[in-house]
Order: sequence, then structure tokens, then C-alpha cells
Amino acid sequence: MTTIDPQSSIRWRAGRVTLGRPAAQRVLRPEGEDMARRLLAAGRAVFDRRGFDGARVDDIAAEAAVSHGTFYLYFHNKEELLHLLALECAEDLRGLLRELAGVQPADIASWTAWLHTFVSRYRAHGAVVRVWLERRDPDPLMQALGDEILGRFATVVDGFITPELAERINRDVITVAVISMIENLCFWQAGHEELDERILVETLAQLLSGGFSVGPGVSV
Amino acid sequence: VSAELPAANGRTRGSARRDATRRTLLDSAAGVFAERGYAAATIEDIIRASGLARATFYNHFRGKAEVFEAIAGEHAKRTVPLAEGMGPITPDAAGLATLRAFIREFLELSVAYAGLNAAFVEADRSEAIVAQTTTRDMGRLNRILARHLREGGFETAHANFTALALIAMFDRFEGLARIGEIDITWDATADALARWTLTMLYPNADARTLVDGASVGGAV
Repeated sequence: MTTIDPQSSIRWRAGRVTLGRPAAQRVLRPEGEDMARRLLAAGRAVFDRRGFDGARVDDIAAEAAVSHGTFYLYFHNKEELLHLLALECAEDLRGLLRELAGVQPADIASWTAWLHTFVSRYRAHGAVVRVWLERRDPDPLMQALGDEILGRFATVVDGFITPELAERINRDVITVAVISMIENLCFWQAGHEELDERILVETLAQLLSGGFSVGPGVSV
Repeated sequence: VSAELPAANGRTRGSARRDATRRTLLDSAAGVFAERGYAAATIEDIIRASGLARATFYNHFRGKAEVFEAIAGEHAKRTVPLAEGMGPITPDAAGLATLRAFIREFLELSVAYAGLNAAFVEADRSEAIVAQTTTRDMGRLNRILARHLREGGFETAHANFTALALIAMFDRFEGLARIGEIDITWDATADALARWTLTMLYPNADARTLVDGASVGGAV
């Protein structure tokens, strides 16, 4: 089940429970959870196709093959649905970034293993991440989540930069470049299945391990 | 000659006027797409923003997708020549200089089109005509960059994937740098990004040439 940030004020109206309470307090029936899952999946698909501003509640209901009224049993509006998707996505990304911290930055095999996990999991989240990062009027929750996730990503990547590398190249540029390359390429791959995942991961792993191999061990 | 001149001038004036009208429509549309995103923007919004008649819009474009495709096409018309103007991406001062110049111009274009990021993603996912255009233009950019990599001595079975990874990095950089609020000039950014790119491509190259810039001399 989705892990929800305890500070979140998002409510899941079916069963009139507040998400964020311990699971034991929830009174959501299993069929209610199934329907909520279905609407979340539909929301993800519609946001992917039409963007957040272009998505209408009717589109999401149609995608889930339920009535307009059913949608409102579960969510106040599309913002609330986006919040839930973003919280779910953020939790998944936190896990992936914890795993990234264990990558050996100069080792191609270590990058390859992590990137395969990232590509496959990012496929589900790309649309939400873009909606969330590119919104013209970001709300405080989305902004805080975005800052938190990008901050975690940046901290891990920054930790890969050796003093030798930092002396030669601005470390903030390296960090933003690495995140840009990984995120954007995985986002493109999600929209273009013809891009061979194995070759794509090998290519990224080769570039990243090469870049981070600059250190005291490299003779000049 | 004198008999032909008025007609020729008339045509030129007419086509100049037509170009100016088209320009007005494209600029108005870009403003609307930046403000509302792709899906939520309407032709009515674009017509209103342009101050032109409805019939004038349809005189130039068949619909929303065609306007957006024209905007995407203009972006490509500016990026593709940048790539064509590059030299081979070699692991030395010349490779660094050509990469730095390309990145500097590419980032400038990213800034100019920054407001349209979200609309680009939406339109690319939802409109076949836009997706075809961006896929075609990306393909061109990708092939050109891959050629510069091969000519620069970069050896891999998949130079096209490496080129795509680099384009993904350049393409996303401005957006994430803006969100991350990194405090560094575009000139310094282009220089650092070019150095990082060469370091990833040629981790075993002579670091003094490549990264320290010792042999770059006046080119820095």
C-alpha cells in the first residue's frame, strides 16, 4: 500500500479516513482501495497524455471506466489525485536514491545494476515528475516534495565527486548534469519503447563511471 | 525589367506581410502555450492574444497541433545548425572549445524556450504530428552529434546512444539548474559542462589537456 507522509493533509474520502494515520486506523474496505488504485492509474495515464492543466476529471473517470460521481467519492478534485500520485512517486524515488548511495561511482557494473532498476521504475512515474516539476503554479506540498527529492538526488551525486574532480570542474554543474542526463533519458525511454533499454543503460553506465573515475588513482 | 518590378515588389511585400502575420500568430501561440500548457490552450486563446481575425488564423494553420509543430520546428531550425557547425569532439583543447561553444548556444536556446517545456512534453505525447516532427528533428541532431563523436575518436558500438545521452543532459540542464537555483554564469556553466562531457567520454585522456585546461590557453 502507498506510504504516505504523516504530515500530509490529504484525505482519502472513501471510508472517510485521513491518509497518514497508521494503517490500523483505516476503515477503507478492500474494494474501496481497488477503486482508488484504478482512479490513480487512470489519473497517471491522463496526466501523461494531456498534462495536468489539460486533464479533466471527466477524462480520468472515462479512463477508469467509472462515472463522474464515482471519482468524487474518492477525491475532491484532480489536485488531490495528483498529490497522492506524487507522494507515492516520492516514496519510490526515496528508495531508489537510498540504493543510489550504495553505487560505486567509478564502477560500470554497479551503475548498470542501479540504472536498470531506475529505468523500469521511472517508467511509471515520469509523467507525475514532469507535471510536478513544470507546473506553472506549484502548490506548497508539491514544491516541498520536489525540493526534497531533487535535494536527496543532488546530495548523493555530490557525494560521488572526488576532491580531484571538484578542483577541475564546478561540482554543482556536475551534479545538475548527472541528474539531467539520467532523468531526461529515462523519461524519453518511457515514451519511446524502441529505445533499447539494455543499450541505453550500458551507455549511461559507461559515461557515468568514466566521469567519476577521475580521482587520485588516475595518472596524469 | 521595369514592367516586372512592380509585380515582383508586390509579391515581396505581400509575402513579407504574410510572414509578419505568421510571426505574430506564432509568438502569440508561444505565449499562450507557455501560460496554459498545450492541452489546456485553445485556438480562441491564441486568436485573442494575436488580436487577429479568426479567418486569418485558419489562413495560416489548420489547428492547434499545426501551430505547435511550427514552433517545435523553429526550435529545431536553430539547434540543428549549431550541431552542424561543430568540429570533431576530440579529447583535447579543440574538442573542448567546440563543445563549449555548442553548449553555450544550446543553453541560450533553452532559456528562450524555457516557458514551453511543459507544453512540449504534453504536445509530444498527445499529438502524432508534433511527435513525428520532434522525433525527426531529434534524430537529425542525434546523427550529427554521433558523427562528431566518431570523428573525434570516440570508440563505441553505440555512438548514437551516447549522443542521445548527451543531448538529454544538455536539454534538461537549464530546467533543473533553474529549479536548483545554481549560482553560476552561463559562460562558466558551458565551460564546466563541456569539461564534464569530455571527462565522461574520455576518462583516460590526459587530464591536464582535458580538464585542467593547461593546454587550452587563450581558448578558455
